[in-house]
Amino acid sequence: MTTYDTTVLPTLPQLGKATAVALAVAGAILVGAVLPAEYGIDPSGIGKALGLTQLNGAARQAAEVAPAPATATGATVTQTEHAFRTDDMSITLQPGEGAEVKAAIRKGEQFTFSWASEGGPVKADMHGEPFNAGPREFSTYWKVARQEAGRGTFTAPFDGIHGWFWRNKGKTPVTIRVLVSGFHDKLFRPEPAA
Amino acid sequence: MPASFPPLRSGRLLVPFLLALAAAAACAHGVAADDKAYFEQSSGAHIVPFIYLGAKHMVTGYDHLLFLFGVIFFLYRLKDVGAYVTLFALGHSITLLSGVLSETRVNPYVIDAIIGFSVVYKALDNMGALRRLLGFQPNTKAAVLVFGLFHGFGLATKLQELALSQDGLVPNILSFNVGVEIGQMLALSAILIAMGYWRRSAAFGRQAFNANVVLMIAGFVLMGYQLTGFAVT
Repeated sequence: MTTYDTTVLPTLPQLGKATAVALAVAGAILVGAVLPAEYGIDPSGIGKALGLTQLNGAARQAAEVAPAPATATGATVTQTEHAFRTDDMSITLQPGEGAEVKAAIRKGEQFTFSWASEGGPVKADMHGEPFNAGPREFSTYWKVARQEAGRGTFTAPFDGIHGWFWRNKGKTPVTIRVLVSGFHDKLFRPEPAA
Repeated sequence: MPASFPPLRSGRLLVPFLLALAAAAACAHGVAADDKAYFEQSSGAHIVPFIYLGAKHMVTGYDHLLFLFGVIFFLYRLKDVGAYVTLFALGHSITLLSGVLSETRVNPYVIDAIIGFSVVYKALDNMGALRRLLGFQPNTKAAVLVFGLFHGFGLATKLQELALSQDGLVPNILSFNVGVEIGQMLALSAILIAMGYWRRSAAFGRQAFNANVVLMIAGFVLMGYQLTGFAVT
């Protein structure tokens, strides 16, 4: 092992120059690449020229999954063999607590839903998994960090249990009431995964 | 606690292993959102998943790694490396545990900007700038401990973002902390092996100053990135 001699100190002009160079290069990297890509801040236009501004927003959207707005596509009438039913459920969540409410439903069947949280917004995640799925086997349909209510129509993409996970990230208890009408088998609260 | 590291001989085995780990971490990035959902929808203790998350956070946490790179830049003896790493680990363990348990919310941009500053500080320290400007060498061990405390707050913030259930919180945080230490050891082993080769080369003495200028650039970029984030959110 050779040892590096650290007793020879650099002169002040050397240090000043090194720091100035470091600041200038860092500034160029920030203005030309990091800020346009991360925040969409691009006063110089370099980020746009490099195509980096396209990255901005993509990451933020990945954190939230939005459902499609209602449109008049698809069949006007579909027929089903399943019985029509309406379920109504209320759950109370303490601060920090999370819970699921799910409906068992067959592929292609629909339900309409409406839920609302009393006492403050909750973190909401609408997703589904096949029957007897593993812990990581699920598809996310709608995910919002802070939401007070949600309503719409759901068509099951596969046989399984589909529904919501809510977490109360506030400091006071909240009560969530969810109403589901359609051709599902049942509405229930799954046992939390161990 | 990383008190002793494998000798450089084991580099032949370690490097492929680390590459495999890096590849795994790269793949894991795609499922990070799933990681989150999995943890938020389950309660109770998850020892191994949290160890994995802690290790992943450290191995892929370039800000922590840059700081550690600066810290061990001029450390040759494993005993010294162990001492500094233990201090750093002690610092971030204290704030990671107390931060999550007391629900202390620190703005992550501020913390990450301070972590960026710690990289700049260490680069200047390695360049001899502090001794030139102050006329004495500030205690390097104290600096590592203090910056370790800030790094821990950064880890705590990341963990709090998971909105963990209170059930099994303490074993989970402890597991995450163990994972952070494992990740730190893996990352440091890789850095040490690379540094070992570099230091043996004749050019190291000439390149050391400029390498720390590059380290300082990285620190400034991190600071600018985080301070801008703080300003716009």
